[in-house]
Amino acid sequence: MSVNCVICDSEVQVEQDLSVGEILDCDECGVELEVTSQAPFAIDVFEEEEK
Amino acid sequence: MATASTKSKKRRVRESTLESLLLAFQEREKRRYGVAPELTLADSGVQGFLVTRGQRHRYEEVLGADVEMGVLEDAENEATTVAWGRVRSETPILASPCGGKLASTLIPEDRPARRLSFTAQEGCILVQMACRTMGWLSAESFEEMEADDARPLFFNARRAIQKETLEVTRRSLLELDCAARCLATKDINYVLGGRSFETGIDCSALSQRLFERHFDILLPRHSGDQRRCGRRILRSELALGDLIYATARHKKWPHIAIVLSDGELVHACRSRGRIFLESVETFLEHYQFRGARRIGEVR
Repeated sequence: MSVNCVICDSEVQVEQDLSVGEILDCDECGVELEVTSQAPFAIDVFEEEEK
Repeated sequence: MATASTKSKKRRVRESTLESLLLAFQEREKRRYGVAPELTLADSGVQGFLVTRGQRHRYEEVLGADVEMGVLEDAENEATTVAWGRVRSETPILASPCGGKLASTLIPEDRPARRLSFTAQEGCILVQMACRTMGWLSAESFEEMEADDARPLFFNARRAIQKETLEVTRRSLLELDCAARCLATKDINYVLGGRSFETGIDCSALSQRLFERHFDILLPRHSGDQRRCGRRILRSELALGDLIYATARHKKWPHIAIVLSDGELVHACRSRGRIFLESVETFLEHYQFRGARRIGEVR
């Protein structure tokens, strides 16, 4: 399965069993993406906060 | 949707000029600390200001989000070494030569670090640890050693790699389990950036030190880099020696914990201020699960 990166629009391969909250990387632009929904599958930019 | 500033902040910059990086860095430091470090380049081999992915977040605060930083992917080829050395006692490595946040600490039992070809005023040098973390160190605390002695220890470390596991023994897993439980009974403080069982340690340093000691696997220094190591596993597959990457429920602070036997885990817990043992279930009531990795595997 694949989705499009919300930043650079390139194709990101994702595993089907990702749970909500899990983080993945876009290999093209390096952005960290967060799974926000499983059905329908959706991602958004993940921005961690500085400690 | 991502904003334009997010896009700018998150982009990976592949090409940048060293001069512009240094200039921007100096200007930022002057604004922040009233002092502009007189950075010089001893050798033209360094391309850009190199950081690991996990370090980028901290360095952005010092450098500014618009300053371009190259992400270090290859420790052997992308930086120029000026000298090799160690420290005699735990020594802070800062994110800035003018007194920035604690990037990490060097401890005497660490593998040798290398001094890179940036220098700054006031006796600050830029060093890189074997785990690839970089930061500014007081030059006087850095005791130089022979390159022939240092290089093999630095370069030949068994580093955790992405998408693959390394072999570990059943015995080493059990030893990790015992050692981690033992540490949790001691009153070891949480110190952000710390790496010492005596003076304090943070979550990713705990996993880094335990993995190196028991598995001979060198993990990156930061949780954001550790979460990319090994292979992804499901929450339902968690087993002794796995890493859980999580963020606090109230703030998206990155955090890492080591899974132990009997459904428990150990982590250096910021809110409790110490190394803490608890069940995975309880942990995940307070932290959002962001992924799990298996670094070492019995084969």
